[in-house]
Amino acid sequence: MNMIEDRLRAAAQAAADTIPAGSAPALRLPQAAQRRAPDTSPQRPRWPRLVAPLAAAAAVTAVIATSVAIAGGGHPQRPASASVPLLDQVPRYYLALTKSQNTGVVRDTVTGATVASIHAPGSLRFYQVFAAANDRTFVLIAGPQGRAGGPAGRLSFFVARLNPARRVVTLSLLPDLGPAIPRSADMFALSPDGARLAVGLGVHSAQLRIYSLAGHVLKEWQEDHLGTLEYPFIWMSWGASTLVYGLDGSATNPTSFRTLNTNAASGSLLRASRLAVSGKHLLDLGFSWGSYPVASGDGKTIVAGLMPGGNLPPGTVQTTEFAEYSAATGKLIRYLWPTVHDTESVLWSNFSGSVLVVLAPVHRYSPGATRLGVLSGSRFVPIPHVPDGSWENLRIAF
Amino acid sequence: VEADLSDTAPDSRAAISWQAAANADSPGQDRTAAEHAAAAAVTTLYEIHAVGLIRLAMVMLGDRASAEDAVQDAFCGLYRRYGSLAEPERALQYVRSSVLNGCRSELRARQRNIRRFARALPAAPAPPEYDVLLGEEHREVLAALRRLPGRQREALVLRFFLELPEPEIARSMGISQGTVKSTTSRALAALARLVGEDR
Repeated sequence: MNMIEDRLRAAAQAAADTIPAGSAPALRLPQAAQRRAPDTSPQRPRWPRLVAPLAAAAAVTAVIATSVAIAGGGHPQRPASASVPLLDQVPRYYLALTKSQNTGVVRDTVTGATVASIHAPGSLRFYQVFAAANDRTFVLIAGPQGRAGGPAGRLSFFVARLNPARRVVTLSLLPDLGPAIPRSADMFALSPDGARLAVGLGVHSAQLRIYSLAGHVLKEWQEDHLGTLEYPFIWMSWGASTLVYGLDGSATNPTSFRTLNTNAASGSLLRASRLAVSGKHLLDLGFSWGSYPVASGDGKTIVAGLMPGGNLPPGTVQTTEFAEYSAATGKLIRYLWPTVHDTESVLWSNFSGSVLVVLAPVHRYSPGATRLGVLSGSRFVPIPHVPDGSWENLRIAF
Repeated sequence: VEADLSDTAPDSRAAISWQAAANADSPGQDRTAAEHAAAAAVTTLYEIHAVGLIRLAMVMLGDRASAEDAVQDAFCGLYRRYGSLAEPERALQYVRSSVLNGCRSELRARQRNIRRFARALPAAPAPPEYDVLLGEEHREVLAALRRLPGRQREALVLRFFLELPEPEIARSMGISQGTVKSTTSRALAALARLVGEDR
């Protein structure tokens, strides 16, 4: 058993034991007149009735987009085509970490065949992987294996370049990046051109830096009074200069998403960015953000996963729904993808958003299992032979 | 940890009360009777789960008064929204989420106050009361836990204190299972760094 986990369990239990059984004070309920009538707000979405037909049409035309492994990079994607198999419409190669985390495998999306493997040097383990937009350049973060499952000690950064013709991956250490990035950093995003790394810092403040892969700090923004950064950053592919980040929220003010102009001068994070999507409306809807957001390649829309609170109609399966917002106005445009495939994370999107690579739980058939596949409308095609243990979105990159 | 906190099935007494209240709250029924039934149902649920939820809030917040307030507020919120709660078996999950939300708000309020008064009051804030009662080895871990961002702290408490399965953590936090995995992994690594276990 892991030592930090044991220590945490023991400490939490000791704290809890300071509350003796039967010592709860009497419940003081408000007067009956203060009770609120059942929420019949017309704004509240009626998922099963409204979304199913809407999303079936919307998913075909929706402009969605990408997470860290954003596609595009100035190269518009082919539109979704019914005549082309779905697996042929996504990046040909992806990199996934194995369960042991000492190996990364590059696989062919269509066939599932292993194209090449890379091994972490010495006793290092790979912890996160990111892809550039060309489907053959990847950056991996590695470190000595810690007891808590995360890296211990200084982080090491590697760039992996695939030569598909020779079926070879060249792994190169980025020698200047490890010392440059503080150990406390745990949020990263690789720019679509594969040249810059966005890094989130700050336990009690919001601090964001852009590094070149040569280890230079290109830009830095900070705010001490905004809360902390939450959710991994996402680069918008077109122009590769806009970054979406989320700020820590609360029960009364849920996480909001802001777009940062990375061409702006270093300094105030607030001044260099603007509010894209506020989370306040979620309180009225009875929802919360349910997954990492994705942004469209043209920077016009942001798609975020929503999850209902505890107030679900009888028989409703708890699922992540996706809603598309205007990045310019923050207005909700449409709901996407209902319960067909309870999508957990979107890892990649084509330009139009009609073809997506998603992580989708398949709990109806196998509790706890997750499947990686390509989603278009109501069609879902599993990607074959995905390595075990790579079911977290930080361990697969397209 | 009380076993009832990790149960997804409702306690039978609570279920019966909830059903009675639901029937009384149907259209056309006397409103006073519906209010009474709702109060009875919420009170029953409170009697069963209050201590466990106060313990949860205690681990999150570090002082009993705030923990009790968070639980009181959560049950009052449940009472106010009773009419729109469609599934009695979800009541515990609803209240647990409300307690976590209340803890999050309290922690953010504290953080704002610390920032606001940091210059005027340079002395460190008084330690949580359980610091006085606990051994050094536990205090260090709990202090590190309090330094984590809210979401990371919640994920660790639900996973390693309440021992909830990932789907239940996802529902309580309102995030997907994949996000639970990532958040828990990052939180454990950060906790280990803070207590120096990764050296």
